[in-house]
Amino acid sequence: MDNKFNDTFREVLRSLVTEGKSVSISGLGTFKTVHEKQHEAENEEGHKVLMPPKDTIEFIAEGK
Amino acid sequence: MERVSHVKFVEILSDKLGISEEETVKKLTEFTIQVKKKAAAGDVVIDGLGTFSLVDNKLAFSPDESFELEVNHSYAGMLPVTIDEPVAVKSEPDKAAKKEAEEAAEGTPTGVKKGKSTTDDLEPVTDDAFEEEEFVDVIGEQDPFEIEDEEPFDLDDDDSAKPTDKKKTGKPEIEAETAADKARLAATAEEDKKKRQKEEESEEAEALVAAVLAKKTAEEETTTKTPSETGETTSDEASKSAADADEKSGKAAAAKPSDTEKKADDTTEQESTPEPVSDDGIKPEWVESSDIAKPGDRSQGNEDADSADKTSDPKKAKAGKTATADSDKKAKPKEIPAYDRNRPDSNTGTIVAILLAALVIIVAALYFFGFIPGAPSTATDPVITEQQAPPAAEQPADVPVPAEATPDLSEREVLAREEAVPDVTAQPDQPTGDRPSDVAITPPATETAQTPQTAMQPLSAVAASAFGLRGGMDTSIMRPYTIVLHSLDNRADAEREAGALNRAGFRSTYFQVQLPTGERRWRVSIGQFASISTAVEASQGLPEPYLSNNFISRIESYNP
Repeated sequence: MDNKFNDTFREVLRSLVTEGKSVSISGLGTFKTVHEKQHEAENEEGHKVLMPPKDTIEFIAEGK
Repeated sequence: MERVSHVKFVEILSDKLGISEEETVKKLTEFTIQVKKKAAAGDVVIDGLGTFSLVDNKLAFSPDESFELEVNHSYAGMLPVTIDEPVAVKSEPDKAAKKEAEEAAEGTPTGVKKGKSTTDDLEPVTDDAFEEEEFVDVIGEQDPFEIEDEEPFDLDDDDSAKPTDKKKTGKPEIEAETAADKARLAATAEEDKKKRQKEEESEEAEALVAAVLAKKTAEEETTTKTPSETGETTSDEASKSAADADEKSGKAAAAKPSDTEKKADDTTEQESTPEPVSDDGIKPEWVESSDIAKPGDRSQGNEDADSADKTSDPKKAKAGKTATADSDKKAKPKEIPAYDRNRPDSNTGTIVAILLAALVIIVAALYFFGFIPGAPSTATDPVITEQQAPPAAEQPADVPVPAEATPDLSEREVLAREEAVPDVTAQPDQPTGDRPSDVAITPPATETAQTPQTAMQPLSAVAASAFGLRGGMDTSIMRPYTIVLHSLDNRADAEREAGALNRAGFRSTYFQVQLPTGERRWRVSIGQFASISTAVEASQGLPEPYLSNNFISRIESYNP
C-alpha cells in the first residue's frame, strides 16, 4: 500500500470528521461525529455526578 | 451536519495527492479492498486513524485515541462533576492558590477531588448557627422574667403581716424567717429585761424613800417621847411617814405615775407591817454601793430633821410634812444616783441588745445579698441585684427575681444582645473557620474546623445578585458553576467570543484548561451559578446552537 496515499487519506479524513462533517467512502462506510449530551450518572464511589458532553466518531459500515 | 460524498472526498484527496481523480479512485478502491481483506484475517491498524475489524461479518472501526481527542476537542479534559457541591467565595487570592496547589498534589488535573470534594469539608454557615445564639439568650431571658419574687427580707416585718409571701418561697425563705424570729425574740427579751430593770429600780427607790422616812420618824420619836412609848408611836409614825412617803413618791415618780402608785401602795403595805423597819431591812447592796449610804449625807439629813422637829414639835403633822418635804428633797437627789448606780447594767443590756440586733441584721443582710451560700438574691436595690445576680443562663430556675429588678435584667438582656450582634455582623468577611465561636454565645459544636478552605466564604454570605446568567462576573466567587459554550485553541478567539457574549448582555468569561495531552485550550462560558441545578435550568433557555451544545462546568480560575 502506498504510504503517501495512506498518510493523505488519514489526514483528509481526520480533518473532515473533526470539522464535524460526515464522510462517505464507497466500499467502506461513513465516518461522522456524534455529540453526546451531558447527563447524570453515578461514579464508582456511588456519588451522583454530571458527565460532561462528548463528541465521538461514529463509523457506519457500508451495507452489502 | 455537512455531508461529504464519495465523489467529493475523491476530489479533495486527488488535490492533496496531486494526481488525477481516476487514479485517486483506483488507489482508493484498492485501499478499501485490502482493508476488508485484512480485517477478515484480523485487525487492520492505521496509525493516527484507528483500527478496522470485522465484527459479525461486518466491518467496524475504532478510532485512534488522538483522533478521538481531536474530534472531542470542545470537551476535552472535562471530568464528571459531583452534583451540588457548595460554592464558596474567596477572600484571599493566596489561599486560593494554596488550595489549587493542594488539589494538584492530589493528582486530579482539574483540581476536583475524586469522591468527596474539597468543599465537602466546608460546613456552610447558615442562620442556624445564629439561632443557637438566640436560643441561649432566650434561655437567659426565661428564668429571670418568669418567676415571681418574694418580698424583700425585712427584720421589722411581722410574720403575720405577709403570710402569703412567705408561703411562696422554699428553704431559703425558711432560713430567713428563722433569722427574723431570732432577731424579734432577742429584741423582745431585751425589752422585757429593760422593763424588769425599771420596775426593780422603781421598787428599790420607793423602798429607799420609805426606809429613810421611817428612820427619821423613829429618830424623832426617840427624841421626843419616852422609850416605853417609842414602840407604839414608832409604828404609828412610821405608818404616817410611809403614807407621806407614798404621796411624795407619787410626785417623785414622774415617769410612770401609775406604776409608782402601785409600787408605793405595795411599799406602804410592807412598811405598815408590825415589824419595825431598820437598816437591816434594806438590801445590803442598796446601802453599800449607793451614794446615799455616805454617813455625811445621812447625818445632814438627820440634822435637818432634827431642826425641823425642834421648830415644830407641837405640830407633828406639819413637822411630818416638813420632814417629808425635806426627806423628799433628799430623796430626789438620792433617787437619781440610785438610778445612776444601776445604769451600767442597763447600758450593758442595751449595748448587748444593740449588738445582737446588729449581728442579726448583718447576718440577714449577708444572707439577703447572697454572700451566704445558697442564699437567694432577693434584693430590691436594682444595683445590688445586678451585681449579685448570676448570668442568666446560670441562674437557677427557682431563684426569684423582684419585679423592681426587671429593668436591670432587661438592661442585661440588651447588653447581652449587643454583645452577641458584633459576633454576627462585625466580621462578615471572615472565613467560616475564623469566626469567633458562634462562639460565645455559640456553642463549640457549631464551630467549623479550620481547614484550607478558610479562604472561602459561605455561599449565604454572597449577595444573590452575584449569580445569574446576566450581569458582571464576580471573580471573588470561587469555582462557581458556569455554562461552557466554546472551547478554543487560542486566547484571542476566546477573548473575542467572550466579548461578544458580554455585549449581548451575558456575564461571560474565558479560562484556560490543559488537556491530558498537554495541549491548552480556552473555554468561553457564560453565567455564574451557586448550584449545578440552577445552571442547568438557565441553560434550558439558551438559543441555538448553545441550547444543544453547552456544558455545565466549574470555573477553576478566571481570566489569566
